[in-house]
Amino acid sequence: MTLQASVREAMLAAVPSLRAFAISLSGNVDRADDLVQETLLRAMANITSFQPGTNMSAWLFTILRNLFRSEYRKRRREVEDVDGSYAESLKSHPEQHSRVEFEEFRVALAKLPPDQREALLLVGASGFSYEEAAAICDCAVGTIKSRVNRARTRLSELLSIDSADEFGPDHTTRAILTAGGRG
Amino acid sequence: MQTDVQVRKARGRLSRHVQNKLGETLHAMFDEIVKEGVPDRFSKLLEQINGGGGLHGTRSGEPDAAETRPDPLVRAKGPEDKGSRS
Repeated sequence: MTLQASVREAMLAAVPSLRAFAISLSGNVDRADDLVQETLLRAMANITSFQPGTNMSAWLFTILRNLFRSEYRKRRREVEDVDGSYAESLKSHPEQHSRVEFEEFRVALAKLPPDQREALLLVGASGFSYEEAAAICDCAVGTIKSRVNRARTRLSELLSIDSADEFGPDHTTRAILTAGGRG
Repeated sequence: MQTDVQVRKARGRLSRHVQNKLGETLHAMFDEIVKEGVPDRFSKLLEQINGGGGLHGTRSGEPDAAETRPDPLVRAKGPEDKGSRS
């Protein structure tokens, strides 16, 4: 099995956002990286079923999402890892601030049912359209829309964001936006 | 599109403001991870595959199980690329 350079490049290019999705979905960096690794291995083993011209990133997200789902079913009875292992794993980045705020957000995210969480992450953070997210989750577009809406509503409740105020003190939000390093 | 930026909470609809807040935080969280780039383990993994011989060593001729049996977790086709990723 050899990979065409273009295919390899496309996979490599998708890795950072695939990791972001996996980490946000599972709430655990080690587990997320294992998911990414398994996703790449499966993708390479099944590369002949990838149709050139279709979206490589969406294909990889589909595989990762399915892996997570099948693993989740097995682990359903285990407690979700929301104990700060993510924050722990980021200790090697001393410069970064607003860790507390991200952590708060991540804990709230982990409280969402998985179907709502994945829908929100795909549409709200990974840049997929509702249609693409529906294809990734193998469900109707309307289902994705309602999951995203429910996820947003629940998150805003958990984080006590109301329409007039940002959650937390003002500087918190500014810190988050700064840390985001947009652009 | 939506021009109503006023508070809309009826029937569980969130105001644009709240949606923006959530979106910004989500993006910031994502960006931070994305900025970490590609960890070595993944670039090495892909390099290894690329470097000839393939993942399963030098064994050839024997078809890989994955090639003969479709992997249930891998759907044949990803969504069409409509170029909507930004």
